[in-house]
This record gives sequence, C-alpha cells and structure tokens, in this order.
Amino acid sequence: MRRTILEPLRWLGGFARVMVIHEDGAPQTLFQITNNIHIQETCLGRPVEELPRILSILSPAHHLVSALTLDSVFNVTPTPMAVNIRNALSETLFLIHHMRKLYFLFTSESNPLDDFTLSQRNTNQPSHERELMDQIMRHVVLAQEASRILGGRSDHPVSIVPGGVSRFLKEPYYDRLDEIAAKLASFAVKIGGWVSGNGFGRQLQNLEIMPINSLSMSPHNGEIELRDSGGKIIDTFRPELIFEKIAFSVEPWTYQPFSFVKATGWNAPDIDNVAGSYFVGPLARLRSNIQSNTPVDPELSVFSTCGSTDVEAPTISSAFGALVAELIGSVSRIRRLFRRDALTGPSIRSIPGEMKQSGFAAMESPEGLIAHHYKVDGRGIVEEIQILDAATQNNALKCMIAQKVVKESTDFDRDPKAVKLRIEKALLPF
Amino acid sequence: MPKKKLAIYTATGCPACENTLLDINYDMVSLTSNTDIVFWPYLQGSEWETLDEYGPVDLCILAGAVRTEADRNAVIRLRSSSRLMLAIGSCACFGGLPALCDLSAGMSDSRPGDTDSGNKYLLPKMEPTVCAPCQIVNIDYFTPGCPPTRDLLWSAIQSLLSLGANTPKIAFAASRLPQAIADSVTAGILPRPGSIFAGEKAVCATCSRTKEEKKFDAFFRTHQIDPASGRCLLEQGILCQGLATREGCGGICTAAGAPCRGCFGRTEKVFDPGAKMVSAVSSTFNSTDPKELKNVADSFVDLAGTFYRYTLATQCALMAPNSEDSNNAPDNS
Repeated sequence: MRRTILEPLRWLGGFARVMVIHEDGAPQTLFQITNNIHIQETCLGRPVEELPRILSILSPAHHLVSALTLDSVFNVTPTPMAVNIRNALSETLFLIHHMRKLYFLFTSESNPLDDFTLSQRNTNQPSHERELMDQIMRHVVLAQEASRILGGRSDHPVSIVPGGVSRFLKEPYYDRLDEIAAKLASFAVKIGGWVSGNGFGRQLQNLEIMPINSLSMSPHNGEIELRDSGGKIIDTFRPELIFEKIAFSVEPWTYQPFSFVKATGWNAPDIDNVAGSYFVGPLARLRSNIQSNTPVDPELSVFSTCGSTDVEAPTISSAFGALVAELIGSVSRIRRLFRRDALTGPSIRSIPGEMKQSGFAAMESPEGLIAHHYKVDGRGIVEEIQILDAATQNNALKCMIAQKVVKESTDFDRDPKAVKLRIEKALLPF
Repeated sequence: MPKKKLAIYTATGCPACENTLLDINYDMVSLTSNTDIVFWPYLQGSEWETLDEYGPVDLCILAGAVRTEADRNAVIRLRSSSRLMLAIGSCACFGGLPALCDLSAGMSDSRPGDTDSGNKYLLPKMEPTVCAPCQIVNIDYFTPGCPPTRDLLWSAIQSLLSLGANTPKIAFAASRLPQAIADSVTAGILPRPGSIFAGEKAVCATCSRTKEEKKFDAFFRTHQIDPASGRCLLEQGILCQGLATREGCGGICTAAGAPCRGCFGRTEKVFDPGAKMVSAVSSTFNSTDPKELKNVADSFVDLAGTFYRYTLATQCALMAPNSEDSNNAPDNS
C-alpha cells in the first residue's frame, strides 16, 4: 500500500488534508479532517443561556441560531427592533464570509503577504486583480466594524440574547452604519461588474460538480426543501423535523461526521453513487431561488456570467458566482436594515417568563443551513444537544470533489502540488 | 540587515485568531519590509518541510489548544524551530473553550483516531485531556483574548519583530502596552519571558459601567433580567467575571451588555479565577440570613464552566497539573 498525502489544505477551519491510497485496483481518495473540538460535549452541563457565546466558536452565525433556539426554549418572541438588529448582523456576516472567500480565491496563486518564495514565482498577477484583492480586505474591515456595532464583537459576537438583543445602539452608530452600507453597496456593484466582465476563468478550472441533492430553507415559508440536482423538489418539511430527516455517519478515516438523507440511506462518498448525500450553502440557496423564479435580477445576471443559469450542471465557477450573487443580495438588504427607523424601537428584548424542556431553531448562515436542538433540565442545564453545521453537511460533497479532481488530474504523480491547489480552490466556495 | 522570519500556526481551535491576523492585513503587509512570513499553513499552505528549509524563525505566533497528538508534535516542532514563541488567543494561552469538554462525564463521539482503522488512515490520536501549549513547551509571550484584540496583537507582533530596528514603530506599539513591557521594548530589549501583552489590572478598571456599591440582593441569570445600561452588571446580580479577569479588551463584552467571561485569564493578583469569583460574590451578597444565603448558593449553576470558561486547563487549581509538571503557564508572579 502506498499513500500520497496532500496537506495542509488552505482556508479551512480545522486541519484538512487529502489522502490518496494506492492499493490493488483504483486509488482511494479521502478528504480528511484530522481534529475535533468535541463541541457537543463542551456544551453539556452548561446553563443553556450561555450557549450562544460558547457556540460562536463554530462560526458567528451559530451565535445567532443559538439565540433563536433559546427563543424557543424560553418561549419568547423577540421585539421587532431586535429582529432587525439580528437580521442586520446576519447579513453582515454573509458579507464578511463571502468577501473573505473571494479574497482567498484571488490570492490563491500570489501570496497577499508577499511571501518571498511565492512572490518571486508569481509576477504575472494583473494589477487590477491585486487592487481588487486589496479593496476586498478594506471592505471586510468595514463590514466587521458593522458587525461589532451590531453584535458587540465581530468574530465571536455576544449581543444576541433570548428575546432580543442586549443593548440599544448608540447614537453615532446610526450614521456610521448608513455610511458603511453605502460604501459596501458600491463595492458590491464593483465586484459584480468585475466578475461579469472577467468571470473566474483565470483562477478556476472548469470542474463540473457532480449531480447531488441540496438542502436549503425556503425564503418564502421557512420550510426546508430537499432538491435534486435538477432543482426539482424531492421533499419539503418543517425545520423542526430536520433531525428526523437527516442522520449522521462516522467513517473511520476522518473526525468530521457526514450527514445524509435518512430516507435514502448512507453511502460512503463516491462520485459514481451520490445517493443520500446532499450539500448546503450559497449554491444550494441559489438553486432553490432560481427554481422558485424568485432571484433578484442583479444576482441572477452575475450568476449567469459565472457559469450558467443552468443549475443542473453547475461548476466550481458557478459556486463562486453564487457567492457574488449573494453578496449583491446582502448589500441590498443591509441598505434597508442599516437605517435608523429599522434599528430603533421602544424595547430591545422581551424577558422570558417560562422555560420549556427543549428548543429548536434553524437558519440559513453564510456557510449554509444550520440548526440547533437543546434539551434542558428543570434548572436550564443542557442535557442533550444536537448541532447541524455546514461543515458536516458539505463533508460528502467536499470528499467527492477531491475524488473528482484527483481522478481528472493527469499530473498527479508528476505535480501533486498543482493538484493540491486545484482541490483547495474547488473546495473554497463550500 | 537580514529580514526576520515569522511562522504562524493554529493547533485545535477556531479560525478567529488567524482571521484577526488577516484583519490587520495592511499592518501585516507593512511587516514585509523587515520580515518574511515563511510558514502559515492556513493562508499559504506551508508544509512542515518549509520550516526545515528556512531554519529557525525569529518569531512563531501560535494559536489553538492541544487536542491531538498531532497538535502536541506540532507545538514541539515549532518550539524547536523558533527563537521566540508568542501564544495568541485563549486556547493557546490557557487551553480555552475546547478544554470545557473535559468537564463532560463521557465523550460520546467516536474517536476514529484511536481505532485500528484510524491508524491505517494516519488519524492523529486524541490526547486524554485538552491542554495549553505552555503545558508542553516553553512559551515566551502571551496575547490572550477570544480572539485577541487587533491593537494588542499588532503591538505584540511589532514589539517582538521590530525590536531595536524601527523607533517610530516601537514607540507606537509601546503606547498600547503595559508599562513594564513598554519600558523594555523602548529600551531595545525583550520583555521579561512569560510577559502578557495585555493590561495589568482587572477588566473592571476599563469597563465603562458605573460601579456604586458591590452589594446585591439577588442573583440573576442573563436571560432573567434586562440589566440597566451603564451600571455594573455584578451589582445588578449578574455574574460578571470582570473583577478577576485581566484587562486589555477595553470591556467590549460588558459594553455590549454581556457579562465578562474571562477570556483574558486571571489578573496579576488572582491565584485562581473561580476561587476569586466565589469569594467576591460571597462577600458582596447583601444578606446574613443562612437560609437566604443557601438559596442563593443553590441558584448558582455550573460554576466551573462559567468561571473557568477559557482557563480550565491552566488556571483552575483543582484541574491544572502541578506547577512542577507544567512548563510555563502565563506568569503572574
């Protein structure tokens, strides 16, 4: 047996690598996550109201969905102003996440911090790309300022609490948010224009994504939709049922579990048999929106230039197009949300009066659909917890993408670093 | 003058610390006039061989806790390849949030790395408990926080990389640092080993909320009341750990209406943050009636998970290894 290991893979939270095992027959390609923070054990025994802060370690959006779950545990309805602040924070997180992904893509072949070993080899990056990359990080910083205003902190927000938010915004923040929204809006137009004109051709190979199901939350009725690769709905159900519809599998070669559609059954990741697997995230959401005939026009036009509007055969380029499309959608929403009338009101929170034994919530995060379910004892101490994160749901897709890139790479033995780079870029939009 | 060499690495944790480094992107780019970042797996995809190729680095910035044997090996290897090591973030300084799983009665997750199959696939084994890198190797400096604030992080990096080379940069960094560290770097020498690039007093010293009298009649959990804005949270009966926690964040959580949870670790004068909090809360409760006091004591839940939220591995006297066994947990002496 011979192993080839491509590591470390860039830009992924946690350690990731691709291992190719050459034994008798076809080589086996595995996408491995090689550590585990045991987040569920971390939460057991904690007071349930502390979970939004603890779970933000997964991503800032988990702070939000955890607070939504607490709304359910404490049976409390957040005030309208708090809902707007939460939504505004959520949109800001989309911007930060998506812009960072684009930054990584544009810097994938030329180190932004001028690593001398790479920069000497990469003198052919067009200056307009370099400028765009620079501008992206400047606008990430602006979006982070907005998320600090709304969430108290940027990477690990603290201000979303059961029933609302923990503070009113201070007076100077209203004008500042308005200013930030305007700046981000103009920049999103610039990115959209740039992508429409140039696409991602230089950065990306035209790798087609395998025909795999997707899961997303309908923006119209909040139901969860399972769609096939053609966008046709296979199943719709209330979010509360998600942990009944989805199951998990642990494979011996990775610490990251896989989620799959229970009714179809689990099949280890295999590009020739995708049954049971599904993915979440921007491309899944856009697939749903396009099939529902509800995309915002500018979003669709950007998406169409990045690959095609044909969601049946999306490419990696299309997946990046979905990121840009969502970015444009987000800035149009923050222009409405970052307004004084939306972010003011008589009350920031409703104080819970009762506590139930359990609570559930799901939402679309920048990474994809996420859901939490808590069971608590009479004192509000967490006894059981279920967490559905995007990394688990996209694990099978990522594994299959790695398999496909390796399979289609004729230069694997000759230049594994080039293969690694292609894998990194192909995994980036998920 | 030859350029200095910098390595950046995260063991088990989240990407927030590395994202903070990305957020000071422009500052980091400005470093490249005198520093090369030769090893950064998250951004550059650097392989371990790179470290051997470029020899010892001048500074290694280390984030994350030690959860797997791969983390342990990485920390040891980085130590042997670095002249100075700066731990950043609560995980690298104290073990951080991931260590809380050690309070759990049983780990339900299967551990593929411990199986024969896991061995076949070279999955690193899990360590018996989560620990901080300073419990394995000697760490020179610490910048705590979850994640650390940009100002402190940038000041620490500048101080350690521009030492004796660039006066304006040092002066700028020193203006944001504790006096003892600032004195050292402006004099052109390294701060005392074990120094913490953060404040010296407690969070209360920088918290914007007004403190009147530290007496309260009842204890509340954060979901039970809407605390008055501008007034000390502890005085309103909410467990806020600001009085036992090192300042440096500027009180960002308390300013947002959320109590401090101690991500900067204990202050200079505190031996054990949990013991300090229990003592402080006990002495400020406004009652002498034993029955009433018992009710209050019973209403406190999960003291370990609250008071050692980020520091269980290193600062809980009952959980952390003896000082002889650990290398150099952040030094307060």
